Amino acid sequence: MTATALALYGHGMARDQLRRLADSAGLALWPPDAIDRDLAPAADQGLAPDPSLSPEPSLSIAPAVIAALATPPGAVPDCLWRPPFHAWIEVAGLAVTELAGLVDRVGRYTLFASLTTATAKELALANHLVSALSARQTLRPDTRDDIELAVHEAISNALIHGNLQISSPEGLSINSLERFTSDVARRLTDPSFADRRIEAACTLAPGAVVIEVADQGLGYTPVRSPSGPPPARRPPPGTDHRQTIVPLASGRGLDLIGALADSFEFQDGGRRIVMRFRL
Amino acid sequence: MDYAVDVKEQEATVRMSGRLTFNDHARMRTLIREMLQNDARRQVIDLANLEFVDSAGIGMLLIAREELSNVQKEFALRGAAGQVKRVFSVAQLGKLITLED
Repeated sequence: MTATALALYGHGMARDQLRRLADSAGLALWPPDAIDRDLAPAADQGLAPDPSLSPEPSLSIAPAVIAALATPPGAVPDCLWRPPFHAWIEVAGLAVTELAGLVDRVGRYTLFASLTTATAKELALANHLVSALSARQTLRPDTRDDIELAVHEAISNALIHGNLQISSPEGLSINSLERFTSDVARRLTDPSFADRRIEAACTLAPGAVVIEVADQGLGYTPVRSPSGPPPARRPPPGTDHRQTIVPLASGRGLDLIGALADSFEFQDGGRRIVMRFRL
Repeated sequence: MDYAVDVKEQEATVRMSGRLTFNDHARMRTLIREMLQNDARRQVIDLANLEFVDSAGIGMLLIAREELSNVQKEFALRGAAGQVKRVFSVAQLGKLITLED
């Protein structure tokens, strides 16, 4: 995929802002004449692009559209998680150079998302990403469920422990739940935590998919050696799981990830988890 | 996650729907309080309409079990299906909480 195949669509964004973003990132708008044909008001309402509008010839072959999301994006319609959309970037607070850097990264992956912590917490991002993946690759129902849960656990860790720097509830009590809830709420009101970004990226390879989730927190030192074997292997669909894995309230869900992914490793000091799933 | 509580004599049934995740700590806290306060000796969460649960959701179900056990109330989960049933199997939750069909 080359940069020339990329185009930009705005969700919940004013037309001036969208045009400036497209210009600064060197991207075409999609549909290309959205602004002139008054599609911007539809975008402001979060509506899908009108398929009756014919895109430019160069884009009609294989358009790969980046959805630029306003903050907060509100409800993102399902159609924005289907082709030709393959990247979702929340543009809040991004400098032009940062946006260009993200656009550059988009081209390296099959799917790519970069959202603020506050937005990622409200969106069922793993569910949307797996839907987008399913639109490109047939997944068995069990495999789809396993990938969604593993990615969801990785995103939860990145959000809560990575970007918001909050420990899991300690002990099995309603008081610990209360403390945890108020810690999360307090951190989300602090932009120095809430504006940190979550990145999720998928790469489809023959017979497998690799999914990465990264945060901007302080990093994480896994208890197990990252180069060692995963704690458990995913059994074939329909068979019983052999290992006892009970993620308690204080867990990070890593045991679940270990059971569901075929392998995983941490990179960037624990700020990035890379999971591989056989398809 | 959404829920509705139906209390009938000795048993309270909580019909839960949607997705039970780390985003539901506040709502789950409220639900646990409701289950502690109603008069039924047995509390059952019906999960037939729950679409998705994560490790935080399982942790919160374990907190419910613990808090109800502290006041001598029975706790069971009923009707898990699809992804929820599969995660319970992976987590072997049946060793800790009564699971009913």
